[in-house]
Parts: sequence; C-alpha cells; structure tokens
Amino acid sequence: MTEHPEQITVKQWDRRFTELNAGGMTWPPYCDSFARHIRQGDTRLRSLVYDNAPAAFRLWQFLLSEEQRLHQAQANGALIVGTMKDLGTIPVMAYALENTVAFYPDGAWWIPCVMEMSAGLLAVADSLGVDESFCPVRAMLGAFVTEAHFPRPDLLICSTGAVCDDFSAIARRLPDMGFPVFWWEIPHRRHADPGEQQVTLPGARSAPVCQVEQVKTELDRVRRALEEASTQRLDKPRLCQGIQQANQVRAQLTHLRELVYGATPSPLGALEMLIAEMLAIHFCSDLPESLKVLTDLVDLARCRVRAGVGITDAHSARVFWVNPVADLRVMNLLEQCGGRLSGTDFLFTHALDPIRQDMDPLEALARTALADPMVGSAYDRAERIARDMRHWNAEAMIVSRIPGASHCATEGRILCEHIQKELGLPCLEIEVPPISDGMSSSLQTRLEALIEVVKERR
Amino acid sequence: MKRVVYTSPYVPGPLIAAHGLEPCYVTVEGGLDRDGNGPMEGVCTYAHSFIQEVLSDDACSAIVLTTTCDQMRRAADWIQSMDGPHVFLMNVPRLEASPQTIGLYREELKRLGRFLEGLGGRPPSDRKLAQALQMPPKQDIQVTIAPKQNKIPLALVGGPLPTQDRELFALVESCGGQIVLDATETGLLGQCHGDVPETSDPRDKLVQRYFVQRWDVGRRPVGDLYRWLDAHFKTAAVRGVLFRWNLWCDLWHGELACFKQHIALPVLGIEATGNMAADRSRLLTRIGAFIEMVT
Repeated sequence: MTEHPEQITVKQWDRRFTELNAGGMTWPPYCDSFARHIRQGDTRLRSLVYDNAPAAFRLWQFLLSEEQRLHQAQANGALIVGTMKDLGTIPVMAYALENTVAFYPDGAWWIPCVMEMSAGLLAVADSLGVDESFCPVRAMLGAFVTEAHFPRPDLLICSTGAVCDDFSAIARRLPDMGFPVFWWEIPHRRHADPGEQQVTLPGARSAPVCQVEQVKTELDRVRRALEEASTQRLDKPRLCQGIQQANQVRAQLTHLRELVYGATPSPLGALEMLIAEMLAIHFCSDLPESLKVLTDLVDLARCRVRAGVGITDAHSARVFWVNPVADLRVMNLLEQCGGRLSGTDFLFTHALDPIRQDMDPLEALARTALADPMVGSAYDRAERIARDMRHWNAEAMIVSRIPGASHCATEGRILCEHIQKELGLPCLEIEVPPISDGMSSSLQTRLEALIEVVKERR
Repeated sequence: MKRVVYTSPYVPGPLIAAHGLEPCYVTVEGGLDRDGNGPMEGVCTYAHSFIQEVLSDDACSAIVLTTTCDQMRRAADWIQSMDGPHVFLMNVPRLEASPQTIGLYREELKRLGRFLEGLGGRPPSDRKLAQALQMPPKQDIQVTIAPKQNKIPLALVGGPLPTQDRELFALVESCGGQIVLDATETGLLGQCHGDVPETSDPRDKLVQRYFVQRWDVGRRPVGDLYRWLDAHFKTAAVRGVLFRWNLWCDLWHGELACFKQHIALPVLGIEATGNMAADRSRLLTRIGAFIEMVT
C-alpha cells in the first residue's frame, strides 16, 4: 500500500482502475469499472465517494456483481436458496452443501437506492397494496414480481414469529404469487424464569434451554428441507464444516472491526464498513470469495493502522451507528460532517459473533439464531450496544430509523434512554429514506449538531 | 382480587379465573388524546391506546401480552420503560397448529400459570379449571345482527375495533347500509371457531379453544381463513365487505390486497387513525359511495 488513503469519486476510480490495469494489476473476474454498473442502472454510485484502495474497489465490485454471479451460478446448475429475515443463520447451513448458493432477497431493499428508483420496485409494491407505510424491504416484493434482479430461487426459506410485521406481511404474499415458502419459527427470546435452566448465547445474551430446543427443532426441519431440495445429506459433519467456514468469515470480520473501530484515524470509511459487515449474512453469494475480500480489507486496515493514516482525521467524532441506512449516501455524509464509525449494530450482530464449534451443530446454530438482536427485547439490544460502545470508546450513538419498519417506532427511544442513562452519552435518532437527497440539509444539520456536542464535551 | 388485563383472543381468561384472579379482557376505548399527543408514527393506534389505557388503570395488577404481532410484542418494552404493571409476554406460535406448536402453546400456558401464581394466584385443580371453562365467553359483542329492511347488508372485517370506533355501525346505517356481520378480531375472528371436542383434560380444551381453533392473519401459512370467512359471508348474505385496519397495523393493512383476491365481493378498505372525530367525514363519504356502488 503506497497511496495515501482518501475518498474519491466514481469517475476518479474508473480512471484509477484503468491506470492500475495498465500497471499490470490483476483482479478477480467480477471486477469491472463503476461506469459499467452505472450504465446498467446503478446510478446512485455517482453520488457516493469511495476508499481509493484496490481492496475497497474489490469489495464494491464483489457487491455490485452479486446479481450477475447468482444468475451465473443458476445457469451452472447450482441450487439457489433464498433465505429471508433471519439474517445470518440459514446460509451457514446452505453453504455446507455442495453446489448451493444462498442469498437474501431482503437485500433488494437497497435496489431503490442504488438504482435511484429507476427499477420501479417500490411502484410495483404500491400496486400490490404495499405502500410507503411499510419498510423499504417492500422492494423485495417488486423484485419477485419483475424477476429482473435475482434469479428465481429453487427454495425459499423464511422465518416467522419474532419478526417485524411489515416483513411478515410482505413475505406472506409470496406463496400467492407462485413462490412457495418454507416457514420456520423463531420465538421471542426471553430470559429464563426462576427455576428454568438457561444457556448463554453468542453476544453474551441468554435464553432458557427450552427455547434453544424449540429453535433446534425448527432448524432441523430446515435442514431436512435443504436435504430434499439439494438431494444431498446435510448431516452433522457437513454442518460442522459449514460452521467452520462461516466462522472463518466471522473471524476476519471481527478482526476488521477491531482494527477499524478501535483505531484513530479510522483506516476505513463508514460506507465500506457497512458493505463489509453485510458480507457476514450470506457471504454475498460466494463464501470463499467473501473470505478473500475480507482478508484483503484486514491487510489494508492493518497497514494503515501501522502507518497511522486513515480516511477520517484524528479528531472525528466517534459514533456508534444503529441500523443500516436505506440510502448508502448517508454513510458518506456522517464523515463529511466530521464523524466516523466506532462500532455498529446493523441489525445482525448475531451474524458477526462466532458460532460455537464445541457442541452439536444444530444446537450451536439455534443459539446463534436466538441471539438475533431483533428477536428479543429492545433492552437486551441496548445492553449489548452499551457494552460495544464502551469497548470502542464511542462518544455518541446514532439510531437510524428505517421508514415504516415496525420495530423502529418504539425501539429508538428505549435505546437512546438506555445509552444516556448508562453511559451519559449524546444520542440522535434520524430517519433515512431510500433516497435522502430531499432531506440531506436537514440530516446534515442534525449530524453536525451531534458532532459539535461530542467535540464540545471533550 | 388482582386484575389481570389482556386484549388478545389467544389469552385464556378461564385459566386466569381458575387461579383465583380477575381476568379482564379489554377492548380499548380508543382515541389517542389522553396525553394530547395523537398517533405516534409507526405505532399501531390500537396498541398505543391499549398501552395508554392500561397504564392509567390503577386497578390493573398485571398485563398479559402476546407475540402475535410485533406491535404488541414491543409494547412489553414500552410498558417496562414507563414502570408499568407486571407484564407477561406470551409466546404464541405463528406457525399453523401442529403437534409441535400445540406443545409449545401448552408449555406457555404452564408458564403463564407460574406467572399467575407469582401474583398470588393458586394453581387450579382440573375440576376448577373445567368449571372456569364453563364461564360465558369474554365478549358480549354481537357478532351477527338481524338485517333490517331496505339496508344493504355488509360485513366488517379487520383488526380489533376500539369501542369508540363502533360508531362505524351507525355511520354505515346512515348511508343506507348495515353491518350484519362483525368479523373483526374483537368480533367473529376473536372467537373460537367450530366445536371444541370434549376431553377429560381441561387443558386440552383450553389449547383447542384458545389456540387451535383460531383464525389469524398473522399465522403462517394463513390457511383456510378466506374459505371460512366466505362461508360466513354467504350465511349472512352480505353484499359487500368493509375491511378495516388500525393505522400502522402492517399485518392487516398488508392483507387487504390478498383479501380482495380471495373474496368475490366488493371490498372497501378503511384505515382508522384512532381519532373517530377526525375520520368521520372521510368515512361517511367513502362508505356512502361504496354503498351506492353495491346497491
């Protein structure tokens, strides 16, 4: 790594890509210019700024090429499994099988942002009676109708129970549209009652043994559904291998988060960290490649930390970010306002924690699934956030509401009150729609105000 | 006697009564002006009203909530944040009734029993529980109403109906229609469907009545709900359906399009904001136009 880290535009990156190619740099086959993706409709890329490191470029190209890779995998005879809502557990099982790719159709929620509404997915959802009072994940419904993005999955698996109502209402439409769904249940995670035996879950949460047993039974049903669809055995040794593979990715991501969130200045930008963390949930449809991409990022971060350089300056406000943003541009905006990420909870911390390898694999997966922050109380979520904020020395928390999401209506207040009470730190709740341009001034003012407060408190 | 308040049809009132406590099924009064703040963005108006009402009920010793929707599931956190009464959050399976989900519901009944004992209730004998099951059902709401001459018979379907919103019945009549079938969650949908088989174990009867024989738009898959509703529509000879949901209730709102696909009757979708005074004019116009169309 020889260049000084900086954020550059998409045009600057395409020039750089040409220069690096001319200099003999080799790339994975999915890498191409940003211009190609923009021509294909991903016009939001023009509004973002990117880390200038080749490792970051590879991360972006890995993400942007996912649809194409999924179609290619299907054309090559792979079993395509669409897993919905659980964000991190079922793909671990699916990737234990050969020639099987799992992905989250939920990820379509970013298409309205990335394609700046040109794909018309939200309009399709509107026409189906799923309007803007629902979460932007309604774009997924549009994607299933148009079949213009991800390929038609061979098997659809969706969790129900302790899930948000909008997702439940949206997913429920799929069987009527000709997409059969295999449902499995995740209960609301609770603490053990007096006299009940409890177990510790990843992320230092806990649950009664009976709930772990319930989820284990459900995951066994999922296992059998995967076996039937793939005509392969998904036995314990295979599941153990799947867990081991997933843990390699999780370990790299943990390493990356420790390097980035713990260092000053921040060696990687907020937008790249959001994308990198997203790799945890389904490995961007290619587990081995996701590991390589993350390894590259870890190497980059390590070099920059050693050199004492980074994307943000040393005085940036250290912000813990809660919930993914519907508009990727807001991650750039945080930095433009003088902030930087010092920890995150993008709704899937259970996909970042290692899965136990010293027990029955289904039991381990059940504990992981139950550790989902969305499955338990907002107070549980707040406790983990507080721990992580202390760990990374965060100075403030931002809760990014997802418009229409049922959990965001009351959760933000509880999270902010808890952090203010436990840590005495300032908190801000904002709402980010899929395209935030119309409210960017207001968002900027609010972010800047928070950052001013943080800096004055130093 | 300690009062245990609940609003979900999955909560077995007889179990609470058999423990020597007072089961208090609540249909919220409605209206969100208690704290002068009106609806909260993203919060179901029914859940919001329920929370406001139970928090202001000094006689309420405990609340039983269920996980049948995310709004009520998270209401437990909200009540905790306001230092409200004891809350029991009952995990009601969302998957269709099966030996496994029935087993889970039974375990939750046992857990509820332990919670009630913690409030001072006494574990009931089978005989006491069987007696409590003989109690008349919780609601005195008339589900079917004798049709009047020269009124267009309609059905009302949807989420729970606050008491204040029962004005809807009079509004419909003023437009020339009549709701002859209340198939909301506080009406027909809140009741056990079909006969509960006689069994020696009253707990089996509880499970049947309060879990198995229930229709619910939140169940996955939804199952034969529409065939069952259709049969009731035919029996009541309705000529149209008012499909009503509480503002920010995603489960019912999302179901409207499916309902229209499955039911071969004219359907009017009505969103209730929790403020009947504000909704009245809008409803009159829309219902009037709907009845003209049906006539």
